[in-house]
Order: sequence, then structure tokens, then C-alpha cells
Amino acid sequence: MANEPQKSDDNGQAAEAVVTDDEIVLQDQQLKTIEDEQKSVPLVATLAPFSILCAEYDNETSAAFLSKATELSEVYGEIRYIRGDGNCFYRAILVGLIEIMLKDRARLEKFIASSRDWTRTLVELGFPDWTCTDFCDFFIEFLEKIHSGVHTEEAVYTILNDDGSANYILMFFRLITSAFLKQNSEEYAPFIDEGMTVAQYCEQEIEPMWKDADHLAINSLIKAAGTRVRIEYMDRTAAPNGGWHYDIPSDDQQIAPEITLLYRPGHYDVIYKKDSTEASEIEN
Amino acid sequence: MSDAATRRLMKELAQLKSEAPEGLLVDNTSTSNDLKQWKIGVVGAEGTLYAGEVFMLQFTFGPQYPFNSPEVMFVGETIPAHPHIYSNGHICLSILSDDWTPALSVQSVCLSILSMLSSSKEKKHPIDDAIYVRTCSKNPSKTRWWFHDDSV
Repeated sequence: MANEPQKSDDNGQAAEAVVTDDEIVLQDQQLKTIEDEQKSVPLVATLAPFSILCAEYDNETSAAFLSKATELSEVYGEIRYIRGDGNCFYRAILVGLIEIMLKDRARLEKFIASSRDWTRTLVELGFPDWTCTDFCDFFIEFLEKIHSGVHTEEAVYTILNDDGSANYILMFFRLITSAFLKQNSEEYAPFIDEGMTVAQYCEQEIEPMWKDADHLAINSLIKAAGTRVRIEYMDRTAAPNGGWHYDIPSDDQQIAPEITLLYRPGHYDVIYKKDSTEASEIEN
Repeated sequence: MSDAATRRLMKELAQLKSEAPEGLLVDNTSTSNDLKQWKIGVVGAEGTLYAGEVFMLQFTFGPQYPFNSPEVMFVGETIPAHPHIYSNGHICLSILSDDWTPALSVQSVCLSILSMLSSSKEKKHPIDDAIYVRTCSKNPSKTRWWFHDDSV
């Protein structure tokens, strides 16, 4: 098909790609090991004291990380681990937003309305009609049940940890990320590798499950979801601005972020400030 | 099958039965009782090399559907001769492996395959057919494809 992504080699041959059954068995075993490791962490863990992060690092083998974790523990009181399955950024934002909405009814109502708008936008943008609206409907129903009190806070976390339901909800976040990029394709096209259109990038990097979010995806989801996020880094080389943390949107430094994530290479968890009066002196 | 997979497959089936697009054959015998395996007929479009020919596509769904792709292959007595289709029924199509997204569906996969048939200029299997069929895994999803020239 002419519009299939280009992955062919020069000769258009498949011969080199033949993999034997033995190799497949080995690969499957390796994948299984990785999967088992991933599943040892729940999709969305319960809140833990921030000191648990410091305990992950050893003064002899990772002194720099231990010192950074200790510094962060002055400001942040709790951490919620998110499973590292390639969806962690999307899931961290989902959890952060749900936590806000569990406490703020007006925000919940606003988000239900904007989710309905996104459903229409997806259809207008030409996303496969009924599969996409199915993901949207599922998410909106989930929010409405929080609103009506059918889903208690406890039930919400149970659902966020149930593979099928949680990933159905997560797809809504991948779809709006993709839609936001497609809506703003002129602005974002220069950041995409040559030879790939924004639509192709979305279909290959954003819409499939288990694919990590890159900076473009991060920026787009935060804007699409209408939230403000701070990302704390364990080392300065990781931050786009070379600092210890990075706020998105970056043009509005006056307003405090409402979700904070901790980035460690390839992974995001959600972190929570200590009581604001207690932490404000240490922050700057 | 997870609840999400079953729920989604039931919706897909209902939708396909109520308004099957032209060229797709679905009836009450198309799916196994547990919905794990489907067989959908595809009819070559008029004006193409496969006009009027009927082929059978087999879908096998894992518990992670629709987050992971279904396993899709041609089965039955007639496997279409096509530069992306091996004589054992395996299909080389990127949306069936790396480029699968949960927004795709049985219907969109069938339509992509029909469109792949329609654009064919030559009725022949890939040139590495003999070696591939001898050495490949039974499960086409396990094949690490180097995608063929996409101009056909």
C-alpha cells in the first residue's frame, strides 16, 4: 500500500528477516522476563512516603542520585509509583488529573465537557470513527460515575489498576495527544524526523500502546488535557532546559503546576509536595 | 479473554453484522463461541486481478486485544498470490505488527488487506516465499518483517 510506512530495505526483500522458532522461543522468554518485572509494580501504586525513593539509592554506587533524592525529599512528601510499561507518562498524567478531579467537582464537570468536545474533534480529524468514540465513551462514562458517586475513590483506584479498563481509559489520553498534534501539525512538523508526516508520527509513536512518550508527546498531552505540569529531574542533563525541573506550559511561570512528575531515565512517577507552608521556604 | 477484549469484540461483531462493508462476508458462523477466533470472507474487488475471487481471513485475538494486534492470516484452499502474501497465508503488512494501534479494528484490517489486493499488479507470492514458508514460525505475528517495497 502506497501509504504504508516505509520500512523496506533497498531491495524490498524479506529474506534476511526470517527468524527461526528457536530464536522466537528465546525472544519470548526474554520478553516474559521483562513483562514479569514490569508487573511486579502495580499499574498505579498506593501513595508511599518519599523516603522510599532515597532508600533505592546507595551512597557508594549512586551518590549523586541519593543526594538529589534527599534534596527532593525536603520538598516532596509522597510518591506514587507508576508501572514502567511504556505508558507511564500517559498514566501518570491520567492519575494526576483524576486525583485533582476527585477533590474538585467543578474541574470534573469541565473535564467531562472537554472530553465530549475531544470526541467530536477526533471524528472531525478523521480518526477511525467508532473505535475512537468507544474509547472516549468509556472514559466519559468513568468520569460521570465519579461525578454521580457510583465510583468511590477506592473504586477509582481499583479500576485504574485493572488492565483492561485502565488501558481503555489510557487510550483516550493517547488519542487526544495525537489529535492535538494533528490539529497543530504546522507548528510541530519541524520537530518530527524528516520523511515522516505528523500523521505518520502519531500513528507510529503516539497511538500504539506501550510506546514511550517523547518530548513532543509530553508537551501535546499536557496542552490537550489543559493542565500544568512540573517535571523534576534526577540529573540536569535530562531536562530540556538544562535545569533541575521543567514546567509545561513553560510560558506561564506565574501559575503553579498542579501535577508534578519525577523523571528517571525512561520513566515517570507522580510526586506530591509536602504541605505548602512547610515546603515553600526550602523550594527556592 | 479480558472483559475489555470481550466487550470490544462483541461491539465489533455487532457493527460488522449490521453494516458489513462491500467485499466482506460475515455471518453467524464467522466467530468461535468464545470470540477468540474469527473467519471473515473477503471478495476481490471488480476491475482488479482478484475480481470475484473469495478468500478467507482468520483472526486470532489474545487477551490484550485491542491493545495488541490480532494474529491475521489467510486460511483455506485458496491463498491469494500476491507480492506481500506468502503461500502459507502469512501477510506482510505493518499494521499487523509494529504499526498496530487500538483504534484499528477487524473491519479496518480487512479493508486494508482488500486494498492491498486491489493495488496488486502481479499475481505472485514474494520472491523469498520458499525459504520463508520453510523456516517461519506458525504465528505470523512473530515474524520480524522487513517491510517489502510498499509500491504494490
